[in-house]
Amino acid sequence: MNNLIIKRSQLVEAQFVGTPAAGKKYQFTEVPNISRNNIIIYGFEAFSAAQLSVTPNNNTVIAAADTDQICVTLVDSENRERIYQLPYYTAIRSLNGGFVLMVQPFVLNLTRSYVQLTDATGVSTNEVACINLYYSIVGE
Amino acid sequence: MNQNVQPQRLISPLVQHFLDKKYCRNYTGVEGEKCQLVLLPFPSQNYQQAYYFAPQTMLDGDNAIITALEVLPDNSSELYPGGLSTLPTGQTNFPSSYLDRGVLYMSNLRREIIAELPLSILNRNNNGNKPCFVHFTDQVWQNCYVQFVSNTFPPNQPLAINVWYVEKQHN
Repeated sequence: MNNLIIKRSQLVEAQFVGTPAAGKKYQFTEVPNISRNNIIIYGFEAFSAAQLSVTPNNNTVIAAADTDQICVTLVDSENRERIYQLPYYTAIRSLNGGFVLMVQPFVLNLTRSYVQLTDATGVSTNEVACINLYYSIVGE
Repeated sequence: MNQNVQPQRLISPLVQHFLDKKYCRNYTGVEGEKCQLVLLPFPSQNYQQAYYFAPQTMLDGDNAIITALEVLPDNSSELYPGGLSTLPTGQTNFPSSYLDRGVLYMSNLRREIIAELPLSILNRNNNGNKPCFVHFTDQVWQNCYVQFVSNTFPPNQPLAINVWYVEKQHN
């Protein structure tokens, strides 16, 4: 059984701006270094407040009890939804026996990727869904 | 029939690609050839202040490939005893309950961030006792730092990190 090796990583977050609503798309915040379709992701990991209470951007991470109410969609450089509505809960490492979710490597379009709430109960305005992208640079 | 011939392992092309690109490896494998315990003291408790590591030439990318990182827990967990309650310096270890407030930033010579790693994922206790494998080749240890998202962490209790590495060969 193999586990992921971190070569490069970047925390990204999608903020529940306004009154949280089920079904609405909340796109990931732009990170200039990795927003130019210039990274190949091969794994990622989601966090609840139990692993990271507040992000480095000073946003409160969603509570552990609410992580089963979010789906993640990651879009590739050709605008295909490569990871479509994956339950956020599935990507939390501590719930997978310490294994990190690995995906077939693809070039990520970060700013078109998003999360959706399936149930807004308990989710507060301006909380964030935070994931750590494990990637290599295109051409590296 | 020759009894010494080992059967070939069947492996999917995708997994082989992951292995070739060093995207993954067997979780039971050794973390690295050598290990260095690094302590990071926090003389003050400031929110979003970068606490830099002291220079460790042996851990720079010129001399070593870092293969795993591990924050040593403070031995407070009943489920996973075996951490380190007192550090070799005699100081009390950083409490594991505060790890959810810190992020480790790995950085290279140009101070480009190579990786952002929340401290909690470097604690084996949170990972089913599995180490956090990494593959950093161009880090500069004194450019790496930890930042906290809250100023409520305790003073005078350094963070203890086991850095597993493989020495680079020089001619």
